[in-house]
Amino acid sequence: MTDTGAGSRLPTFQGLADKMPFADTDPDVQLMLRFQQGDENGFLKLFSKYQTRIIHFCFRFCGDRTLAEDLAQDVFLRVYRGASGYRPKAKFITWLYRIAVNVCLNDARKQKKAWLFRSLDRVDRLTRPGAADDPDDRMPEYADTNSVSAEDEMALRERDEKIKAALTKLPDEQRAAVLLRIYDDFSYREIADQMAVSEGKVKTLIFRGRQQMKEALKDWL
Amino acid sequence: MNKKEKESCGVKEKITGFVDGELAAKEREVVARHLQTCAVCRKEHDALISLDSHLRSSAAPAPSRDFNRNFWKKVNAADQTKTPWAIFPDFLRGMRPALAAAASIAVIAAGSVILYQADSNFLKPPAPVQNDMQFVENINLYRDFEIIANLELLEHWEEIIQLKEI
Repeated sequence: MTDTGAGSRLPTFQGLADKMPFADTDPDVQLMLRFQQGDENGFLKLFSKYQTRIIHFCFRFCGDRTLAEDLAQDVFLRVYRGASGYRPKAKFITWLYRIAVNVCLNDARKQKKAWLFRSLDRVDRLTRPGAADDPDDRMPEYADTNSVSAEDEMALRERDEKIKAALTKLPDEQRAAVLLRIYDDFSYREIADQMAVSEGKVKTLIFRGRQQMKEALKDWL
Repeated sequence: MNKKEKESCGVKEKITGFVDGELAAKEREVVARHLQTCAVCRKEHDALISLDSHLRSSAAPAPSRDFNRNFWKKVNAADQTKTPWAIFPDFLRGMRPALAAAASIAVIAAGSVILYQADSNFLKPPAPVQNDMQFVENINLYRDFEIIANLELLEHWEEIIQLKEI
């Protein structure tokens, strides 16, 4: 670490960059390092930039909007609380998704039994009269409703429900790998890093996950 | 293509890597050439592209209005229930494994000392109890009693009987 001079005791990012390559090339890492040194704006920018992506990842992983927000908050809470120990050994987004994967997989393990009951309960709630009044059960809004007819919109909703159901049926690790690849466009190497498994295993998880999804959605393909 | 031909085509697993752009250049070329001639694999390839397209266009909910507020509530709640480590300065928090190891060694050392002392006490003769002390203090008094004074004779009573017979 080098001194910035003029009485400042804060280390320069360049000094860190010498030891940690991503400190220099990734602007998100710079923001995280600023937050680490006490500048909360760094965190706020990252929080604002990634909250939707992380909520979507969690939603697609668990299939429940309220739980997804809860999990996403836990992810950012870990980022917030873990700032003092942060070391930029990878791109910030890789680190962030590694936390998200851990949070989701841990939650899935913990709630394995509860999840079964909640799913049954949700089926019951969806089929009872007035089910649409429940905010948790409302379908997500589509960005441009003028471009699709009511029938098309119905069909899209039906398709999305099928996708959601098919995703939740995947084993947890397969689901995480498929989501990271298809929705977030990470490479196999990055996914392996995020899930702490080998690249070969990622390849297998994605292949099997896609085969299962293809079978579940064969009417749409 | 019949079932046997489908099974003999060994490219299926590589199509996922091909779609994801994860194949090496040479392998990619082989798969691309294969797709031009194999209808089954081309169908598989198109199905995967279609699957990805459907998945990517599926909707997901935007963050609720309470998302940020609830997050900061969690941060505040977490600050109020700090772990015991929070009392340590930042540089010490980074040394958690070392501190934990030192604490473990201290506990093991303390345990060993306690066990050693307990063992030593076990080897020592027990401290005299109050009744024993009373007996020692009044030993002369007890000797005055004939039965006590002649107790040693009882140890040799067989010899005494033989002497009387002689």
